[in-house]
Amino acid sequence: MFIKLIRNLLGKFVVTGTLFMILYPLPCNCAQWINPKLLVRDPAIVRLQQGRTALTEREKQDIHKYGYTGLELMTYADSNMRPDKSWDKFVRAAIVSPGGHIKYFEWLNKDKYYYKDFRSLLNYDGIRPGDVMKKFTGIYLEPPERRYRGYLYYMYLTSMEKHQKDKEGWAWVHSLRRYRRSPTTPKSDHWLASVLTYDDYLLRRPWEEKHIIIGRGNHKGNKCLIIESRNILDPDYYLSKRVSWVEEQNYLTLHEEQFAENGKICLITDKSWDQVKPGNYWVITEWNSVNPVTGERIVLMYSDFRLNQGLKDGEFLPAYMGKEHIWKRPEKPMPPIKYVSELPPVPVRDIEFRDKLQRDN
Amino acid sequence: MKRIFIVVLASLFIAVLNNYASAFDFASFDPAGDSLEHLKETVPDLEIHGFFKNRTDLDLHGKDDDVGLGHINKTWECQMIEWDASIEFRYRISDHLELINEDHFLYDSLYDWDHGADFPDDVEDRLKYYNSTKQILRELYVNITYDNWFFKLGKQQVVWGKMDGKCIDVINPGDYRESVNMGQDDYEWRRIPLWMSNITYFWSDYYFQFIWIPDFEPSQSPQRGSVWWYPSLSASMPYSINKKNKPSTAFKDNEFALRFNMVKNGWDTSFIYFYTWDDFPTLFKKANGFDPLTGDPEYSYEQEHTRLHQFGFNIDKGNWFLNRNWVWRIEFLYTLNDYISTADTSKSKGVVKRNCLKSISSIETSWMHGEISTLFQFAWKYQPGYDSSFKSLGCRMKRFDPTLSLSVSKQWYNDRLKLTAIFYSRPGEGSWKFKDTISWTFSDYVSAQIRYTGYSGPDDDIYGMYSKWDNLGVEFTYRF
Repeated sequence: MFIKLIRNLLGKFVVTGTLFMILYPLPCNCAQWINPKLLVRDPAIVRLQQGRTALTEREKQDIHKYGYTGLELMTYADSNMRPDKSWDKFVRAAIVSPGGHIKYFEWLNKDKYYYKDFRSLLNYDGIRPGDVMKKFTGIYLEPPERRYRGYLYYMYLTSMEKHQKDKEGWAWVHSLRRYRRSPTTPKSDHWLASVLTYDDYLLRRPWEEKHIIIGRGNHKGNKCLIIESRNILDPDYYLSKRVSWVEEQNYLTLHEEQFAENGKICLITDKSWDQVKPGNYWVITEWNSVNPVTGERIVLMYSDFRLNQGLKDGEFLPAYMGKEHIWKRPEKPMPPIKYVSELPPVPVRDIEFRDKLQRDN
Repeated sequence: MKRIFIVVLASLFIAVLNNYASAFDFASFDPAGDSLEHLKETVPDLEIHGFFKNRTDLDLHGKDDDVGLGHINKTWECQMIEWDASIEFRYRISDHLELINEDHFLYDSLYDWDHGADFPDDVEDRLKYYNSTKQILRELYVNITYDNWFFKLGKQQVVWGKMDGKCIDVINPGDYRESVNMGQDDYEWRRIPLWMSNITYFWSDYYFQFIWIPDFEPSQSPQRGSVWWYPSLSASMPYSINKKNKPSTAFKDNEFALRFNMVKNGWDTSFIYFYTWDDFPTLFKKANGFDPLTGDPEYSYEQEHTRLHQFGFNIDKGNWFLNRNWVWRIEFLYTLNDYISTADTSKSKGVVKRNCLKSISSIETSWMHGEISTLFQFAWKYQPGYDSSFKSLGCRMKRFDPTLSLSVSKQWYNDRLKLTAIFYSRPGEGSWKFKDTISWTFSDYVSAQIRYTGYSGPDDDIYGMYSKWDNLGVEFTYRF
């Protein structure tokens, strides 16, 4: 009797235990966000990337005055654009034409990175230029014309010597029920027919520009270092320069101003950041850009982040898009944006800093 | 009829010009969407989408008699006044299980509104509207995602090809009521979905797909006597068909397909095999003795679908050249045991059995900050064991039959205005087809387009035979 009871209890324990193990979510073994400066340990790796052997005079001055080089700061800021090994998120985008017409997009996106950490991109530890650095895919939920359309991109690690092949992409078109490779466009092409270029949104790498620190500033109460960047890769580049406000503590780009070839301002961007659990990685929650000349805008809103899910390689095959699988829903679904009044305020130029710079000069 | 059409066209043009000033707010015109928002709140896992569309094609040559080798009498002014509506339900049962249903309603008011048009009764019966559950219940399937496995079970369409046109896109039959006037975008609604089990296993850089199709539906050629019936053939039936055979649903008569795909170093490669039935029936001639009065041989005809083996291959890759990315693609399809109609009287059944090789290759790139896209395509069909007696649509068949096409599209105003021009040429025949489309997106929900399609060439060529079928089309779409 007693033995039977023990056996029953044991049996139930085994069954319950097995079920518990299957059903109970395992404690997350996610990595933690580490300040990129601490992660890199030796700043020389960042300062002298792409085979450089010596610092310029200006860089030496910048180190003396601010403790960093421009390239170093922009590299730290760039590393925050890619949190963890893999992640997914919801994206809402409102593109406003000069006439005030809104084109509204909504999609679900997932990214997987194929390198150890951001330091390995600099010292080529386990990854070489030309190798796949990142794969990302997603599915559109809005507008109706794009619904269930899928996209997939493979991004390659580029370098000064190997920089032309930066990505390749496929698209799944629901109406055609097929996926097809699409020609990838040059970096200066407009992304999503918006004011942003592929370079702005996806491709620009810190070593493609020459950076100098031009001062200290403040953006919405955050202390920033201000960096001026000029492209050194393409003599016919579409911008004469960019000026970025990088927050000093965590290296987050909060504000950016871009200047066209004629020197006139052509894009102003504000970015909002937040730390997400687990891992406390920094992620952009809002990207707000405007062309102050034409009034064209794009506002990108990111939500429902999920980090380090251990996404499988098979999920990044072109045919996988054919599943049209909406793998998660937003926690707080929101109706499409139809009016400009529903958007956050238009970003404005940092006049105070411009005036200060003019006075100093 | 022409006057009404021109008034509609002019109204559309004025509407486009006055879009901003118009009292009608296109940006917020989404009546169904507003109602569905409430439903979404009540049933959060149910998604309902759809569209309502009108497509009207005006025949630019109008009425005409004795056209083409088939001496067709053109009695219509419009080629189509088609009203389409679709509603799609997606119910997410769990993260891994989803139920999808898409219903399609079609009414071609040409048969009621073009009073001068004269069509045989069976044409109107078949083409005027969808009147069977089989046509209306377009897709109904469950998606099951489990680990690396993906199961798609139910009535669906599977597209394997990646070309503009069909090469290895062989799984589903099609409704080719518009013949060569059909564009790439029309396949979604003209492809005939089938009941099937579609199972895919993904791993690393590979996937393997197995399809079992117990259902059979034949492809529909243009209906004899309808607007797009082949002008090279007579509109009235020259013979009667005694027997029409269709494959049964027995397991031995089912269709099976396999596909293996890999993406390695940017090369996307697939191998396919399809054990299938010919979606177009073969007409077998049968001798029935001799006419007692004239002494001429008498024949009866039997229509039958025949078994085919199809092997295919496709590969595509992107390369950087001249400071831009070029995407090139190639597809091959080799079909075993195809039947070809022959004028050779020594062939008692009027057909011969041959294999056939088909291929399409293309190269695509974009220019001017991605605003201009160009696609060049070369399609050909090669007939091994060719004989000059082989016939296709009543005309002499070619051993090597090439078609070239060039598509150019440009977008303006944040992609709201789009111009697409596609030129098809058959170099051996001196024939061509030209399609020019201007589309305007009023809002995320409402769009319109105007389209011109022209044909030229000799009467015994697939484009040339429609040289008096040039048309101007207008299309309005509301999506929700």
